[in-house]
Amino acid sequence: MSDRAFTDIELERVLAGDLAQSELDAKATAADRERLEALRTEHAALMSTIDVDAEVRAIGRKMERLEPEPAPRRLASWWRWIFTGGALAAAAAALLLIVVRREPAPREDDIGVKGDGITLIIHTESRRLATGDTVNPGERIRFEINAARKGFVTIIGIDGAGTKTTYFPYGASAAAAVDPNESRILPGAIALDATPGDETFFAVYATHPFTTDEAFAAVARPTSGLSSAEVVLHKQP
Amino acid sequence: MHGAKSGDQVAELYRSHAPALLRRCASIVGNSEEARDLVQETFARYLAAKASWHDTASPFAVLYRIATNASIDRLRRRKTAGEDELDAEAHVGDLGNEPRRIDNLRDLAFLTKGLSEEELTVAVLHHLDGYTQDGIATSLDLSRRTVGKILARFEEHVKKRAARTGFVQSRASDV
Repeated sequence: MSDRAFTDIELERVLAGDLAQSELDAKATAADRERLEALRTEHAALMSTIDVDAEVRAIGRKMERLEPEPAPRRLASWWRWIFTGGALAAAAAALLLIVVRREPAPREDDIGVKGDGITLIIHTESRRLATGDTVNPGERIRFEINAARKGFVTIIGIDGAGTKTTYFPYGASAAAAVDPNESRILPGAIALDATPGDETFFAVYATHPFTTDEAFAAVARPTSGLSSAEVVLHKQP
Repeated sequence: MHGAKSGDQVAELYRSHAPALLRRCASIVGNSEEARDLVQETFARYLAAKASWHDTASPFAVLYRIATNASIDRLRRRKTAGEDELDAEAHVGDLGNEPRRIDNLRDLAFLTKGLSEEELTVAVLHHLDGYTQDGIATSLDLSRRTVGKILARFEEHVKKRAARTGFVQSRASDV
């Protein structure tokens, strides 16, 4: 691009009417003009396949589904958890079922997952958490996942010190079979301890069985056949 | 339709800006159909939040940032073998779908979670598309100094995130 005075983006801004043609005329090289014409042709070809009115209607439908932007993510260090089972988990489950029914209109992610992807939502008894949210010691959380079809899931966590924990199935060495069409809330609850800091939670999914070691490897480096979603939470001291 | 813009105004904005955004999204997700969906999403987000943009902000620069962010976010959601292969036949644009670029896109999508749209756009342009800092500054109406600061913040973010997740690059990459 050494014989060019303008980047592709600048040339596309000219085509969009966002950058004055006079700016181009003053400095453009022959290579710029050639590239501009190539882009103009490519743009025309792209638009010839599109029904603009239909796109505008689709944009309107997407706007209807938009929610307010989430709060900016907090990056920090994180915390520790204790696992509780039995009666506590059952109580949390009952509370969460109520919470889930009171959820506002679902985001697009909740409606369906294409292909072999997965989504992860973390709930307390009273609210739904997203990356950057702050939680308090003693709060109990549960995990909700969604995937397009039956498969195997594990929930793992890595705290700021690099400590790795398997939360679902708790302490297990392999992912558990799940059917999101039957239940998206995973069994078991986690109670937060008083240690402040950050932790990243990952839901790892595949259509075939896999070990939690493979899950930890997959979140460190994208791995064929395994998909993941993550939520980072911050715990107040 | 929300906001002050009428359907005709949105159509006009779409006609003038969508081609560049379609190219941008397709160069990242590698699929023209998915790019169309992402451009719809880009316009929806832009129009829904238009009141929050500065009057002087270039619509193109804002839309370009939203489109880049949405495309990288889409890559993050499909870190699976079957969906991760970019569709060569549907590919649109001049950025190529060579294996190295695909590897770098995967890595970038993983490492940049949590960055702002502006930071992500600058990082992609510099590390994936090969834009110089000057080129980014003139393309997005930013000062050269701002671009430098953003790239420094990006590198710091990547280091921390890589350390937190134990990220390992399996191939040589300049990300």
